[in-house]
Amino acid sequence: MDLYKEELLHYYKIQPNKKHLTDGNFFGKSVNTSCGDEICLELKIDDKGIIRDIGYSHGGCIVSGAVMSMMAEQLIGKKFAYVKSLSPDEWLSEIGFDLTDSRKKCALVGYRALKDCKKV
Amino acid sequence: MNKYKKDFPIFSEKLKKEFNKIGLIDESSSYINKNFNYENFAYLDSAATSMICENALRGVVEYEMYYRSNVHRGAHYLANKSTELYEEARKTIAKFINATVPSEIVFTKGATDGSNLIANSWGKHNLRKGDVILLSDSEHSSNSFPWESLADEIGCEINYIPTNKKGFLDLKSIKTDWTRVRVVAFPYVSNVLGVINSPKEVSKYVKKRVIEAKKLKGSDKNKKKYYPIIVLDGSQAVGKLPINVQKLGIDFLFFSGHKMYGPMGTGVLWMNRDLLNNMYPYQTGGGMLDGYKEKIFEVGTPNVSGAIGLSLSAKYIESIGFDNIREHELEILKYTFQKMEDMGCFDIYGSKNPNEKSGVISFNAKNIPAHDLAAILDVEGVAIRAGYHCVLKWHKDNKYYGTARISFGIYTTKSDIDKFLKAVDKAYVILGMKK
Repeated sequence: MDLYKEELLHYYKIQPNKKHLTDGNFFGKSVNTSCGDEICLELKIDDKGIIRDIGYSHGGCIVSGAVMSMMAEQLIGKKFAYVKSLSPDEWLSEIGFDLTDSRKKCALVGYRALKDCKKV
Repeated sequence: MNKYKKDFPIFSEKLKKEFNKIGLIDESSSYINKNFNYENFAYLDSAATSMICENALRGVVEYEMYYRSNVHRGAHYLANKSTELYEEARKTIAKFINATVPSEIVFTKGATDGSNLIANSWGKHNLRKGDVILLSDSEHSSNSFPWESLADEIGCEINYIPTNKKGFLDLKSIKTDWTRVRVVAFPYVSNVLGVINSPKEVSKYVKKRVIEAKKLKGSDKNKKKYYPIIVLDGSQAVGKLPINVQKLGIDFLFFSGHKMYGPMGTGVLWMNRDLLNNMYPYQTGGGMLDGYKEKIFEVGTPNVSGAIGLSLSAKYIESIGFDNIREHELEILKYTFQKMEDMGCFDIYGSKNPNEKSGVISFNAKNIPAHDLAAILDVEGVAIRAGYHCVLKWHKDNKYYGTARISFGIYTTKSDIDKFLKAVDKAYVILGMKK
């Protein structure tokens, strides 16, 4: 099956950022109620608006978990204002996997959690 | 192939050829996927939608080709014939669930439509702020959202009937003020746990608690006004179990046609006629010949071909017989439970006793998220459901990020189950995960 390639499974299995941040200062959540995916995202953002660390909890499918894992790596070091302005298509293009429409919803769970992020 | 599979056009090459020959379908059409193996895929999602039986499909086509016209308001042959067939369909459904009279039957678009009709036509006019609506905690959205939405609007309180480990309604654990309970709504068969509840038992229990709470005595015990209405979701039960609405102790029953081998977009609401005085149509329009206050609950041009198709699917079910339907279901359930246990990689939710179940099994395969399992099985030609199955509260309360579900119809075979299990094995290989 094309989707479940080594890279996707690798990101799903390692998920180094699947952790709780004790010093997170932004929080967002997203749930995909059609299939049960859920991501709670914590960000540590410095005074200059740069994402310094990411932590999240994930429940649900491989695609939503792997994409969050992959994107967490890429988001660290970037400006929060910039990543929050990404469109869904731009988020999906960063992933590099061909996804059907139904699986795009899974891949966008992390994106929606990011969009939901607010200062706590 | 089992002996019933041939009755379902989607699985039958013979029927497809026949329909193609007379031009009813065009096999060269780009809409038909030539690569999809219609005869040999394992369809294990009948709790969501069952396949249409030949009788129902032929009824729909025949009506549309020969009798299509408006009902109840025409003077010509087609209009009269259309009315006659539509009302005949109502009689068939009334007989199918043992309603007292055909006028107790309202044709709807499906279960959700039926439940909304009850909430809006009865609930809105009879509930007051502070009243309690009792719902099962494993209720399908079709029967929870209409009541939750109404509760928000009026200021009612929602209390829940807990579901026990086996999946049954745990009546003794209900925490509520029985003096304020006005509605009790629950499924005959749970669409997620598959267990067969006893509406009669629930009704009896509710009555007992209300008598105690309100301290009813003498003839007051027989006055309907003191008791909550009982709303039964029959979506997973009708077509599988014989239904006698007069003996279930209920006030409303609603169900979908597309889960009982009938056409899409069809359903039925049965109502206890005693409640009619307190009910008011929530939709007005075409068909209300005496003005908008007329007590008609089917407004606009109805889905006549759908109602006819649905009545023919009911006749098909009767022709098989409920004993044979149950025998087949038990055979598949026993086989499936045994094989799933042998594989040792499944967490099955709810009762594993086939005698307590209908043909619905929810589970998770260890280490494989439900959605991914369903996606891989799809490629292997096995259709299952994954997600919340429209039962959000139960999944959230139990912290399940979705479950997988297999469900059966009269056409399900043991080889469908074998194919499913083989595909699960393959999923473990593809994902490199341990059972």
